[in-house]
Amino acid sequence: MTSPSSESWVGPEAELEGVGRVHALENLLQLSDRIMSLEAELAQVSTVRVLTPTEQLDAEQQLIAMRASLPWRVGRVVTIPLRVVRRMLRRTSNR
Amino acid sequence: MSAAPTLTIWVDGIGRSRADVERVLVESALQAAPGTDFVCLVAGNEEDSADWAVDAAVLLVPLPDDDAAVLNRLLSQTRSDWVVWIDASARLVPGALARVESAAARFDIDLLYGDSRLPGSRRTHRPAFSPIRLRSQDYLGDVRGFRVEALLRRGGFGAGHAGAHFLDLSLRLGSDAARVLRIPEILSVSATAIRPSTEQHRKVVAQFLGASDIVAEVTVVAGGLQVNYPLMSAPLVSIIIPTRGSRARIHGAESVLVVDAVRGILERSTYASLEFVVVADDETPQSVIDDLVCLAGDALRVVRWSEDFNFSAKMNRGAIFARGDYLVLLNDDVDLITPDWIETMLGLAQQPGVGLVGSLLFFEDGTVQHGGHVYSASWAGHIAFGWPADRDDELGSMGVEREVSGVTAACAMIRADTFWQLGGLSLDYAGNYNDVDLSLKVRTSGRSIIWTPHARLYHFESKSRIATVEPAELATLRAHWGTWLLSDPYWPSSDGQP
Repeated sequence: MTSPSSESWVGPEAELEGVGRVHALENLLQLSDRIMSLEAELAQVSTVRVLTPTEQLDAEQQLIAMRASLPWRVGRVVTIPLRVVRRMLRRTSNR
Repeated sequence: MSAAPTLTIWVDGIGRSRADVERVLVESALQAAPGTDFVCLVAGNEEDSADWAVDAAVLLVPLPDDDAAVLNRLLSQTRSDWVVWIDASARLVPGALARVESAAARFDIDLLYGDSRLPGSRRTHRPAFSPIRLRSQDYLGDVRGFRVEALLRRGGFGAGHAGAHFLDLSLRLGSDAARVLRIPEILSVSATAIRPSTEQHRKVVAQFLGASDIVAEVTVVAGGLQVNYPLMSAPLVSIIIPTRGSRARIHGAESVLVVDAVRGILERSTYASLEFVVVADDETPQSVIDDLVCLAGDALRVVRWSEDFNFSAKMNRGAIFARGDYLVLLNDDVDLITPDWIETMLGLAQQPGVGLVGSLLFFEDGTVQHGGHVYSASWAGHIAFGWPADRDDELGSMGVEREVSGVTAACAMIRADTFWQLGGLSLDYAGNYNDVDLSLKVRTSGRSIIWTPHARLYHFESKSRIATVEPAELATLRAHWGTWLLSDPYWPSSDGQP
């Protein structure tokens, strides 16, 4: 790899007409990006996400695979006491 | 769930053995609901098939060479909601028809297909519906469902398509990709994951493209069809290259990366309407700037970068100075292999609905660096990373143009107005994942991303930058796009390995 030059290069730099136009355009890009990022983030926390049929089936299959996995089944066994206690508490509070 | 749709099973025995046809008939009869109609398509005339001892419930239909009229008559007489087409060389797995029936009942769709398995082998995950890929390769498998009403509405079977009718129907029904469903379960055991493309397939694709007002040349090649989209005009293409003027040893020789990249494009690229927008760090050696000016002359715009390193910001600044209708985002450590790379990418970028186009990139040692992005398990990676150049998956994915979840910004083409509409590359990602973020912005804007193996370049990635992942960038990516990173529709096996 080269070592960087200690002095800044000189040459025929491209220019844009108008004072501050580069920064204005950079800001425009940044604002558009910010809007898209916020929309994306909002979609992540939205309770309603419209899935295509293919996505929906895919998600269901992943769920089935997860519930069939060893970690899931072990977790279900391990948390049996907790679930029993929770159910008893719920019954007690409903009386 | 709506009422169960009625199915008619069409067993396609053209070119298949009688034993195969009878086996598939039995397999489907065992799975089908009572009252299901069965049609068996065989080659030849009625005399040829007179000795076929099929059950009275099966309608045996000998097809002449020009078979569209017979098939359309059959279709118009069909009483059911769906035709399920099964290639007789495949074996239907238990429960396959129930899966088809369930999916047809649940969703408002016109076409469905599913995964398959090779005999004694693991599952072949078929990608989500991929219209551009279907032009290059009939990848939908040996079991498909077609809604009869949609077939009739679209004119039924086309004349002169014998041997490729079901590709033709898939292309036409797939014009509305939202009405196509991939069932992510195994429906059949098939002798091959992909059948070779034939002259009939070529004719069908060419006719489909012609009817869609898409100018294209279709040829049969090893592994599928190659579709070239001739350019109707020669728009200015701006190649934006951020650089700091690094040097490296490439193929045993000393290279000033950006100078050699520009030289290679100028000397070997066949597309003439180009400009180079080089965004050069302050510390770029003077000799590099001088060489670039000498090489590219008026086709060069040099833009200064005096701030801290931020790949996205450098690209964005380049885009501000670019005058082209199309932008190529390019790293400085690349060297083109295919001289018509711009034409190939531009032809795809000009297709309706396409937002971003990527290429096949190789490391210096000839192994694959990029075959498209794959997003899975909250991670982003490259398809086929490190594969030998001749390696492929069972679907032949490395040889065909296809929809992907994303492409690398090391070499990607995008329309300039799309780049501006999407806000360019996000400054949140100074070094990594800016291309993943851009790709996901492209997809959420309703556009598709296409990767092509016909535009090939070397990418000497490790020569110019040590890839390090900033945890903050990964966290931001997951906050913005978490659910999009869980599983990849276009590379559903998700492990990158065949």
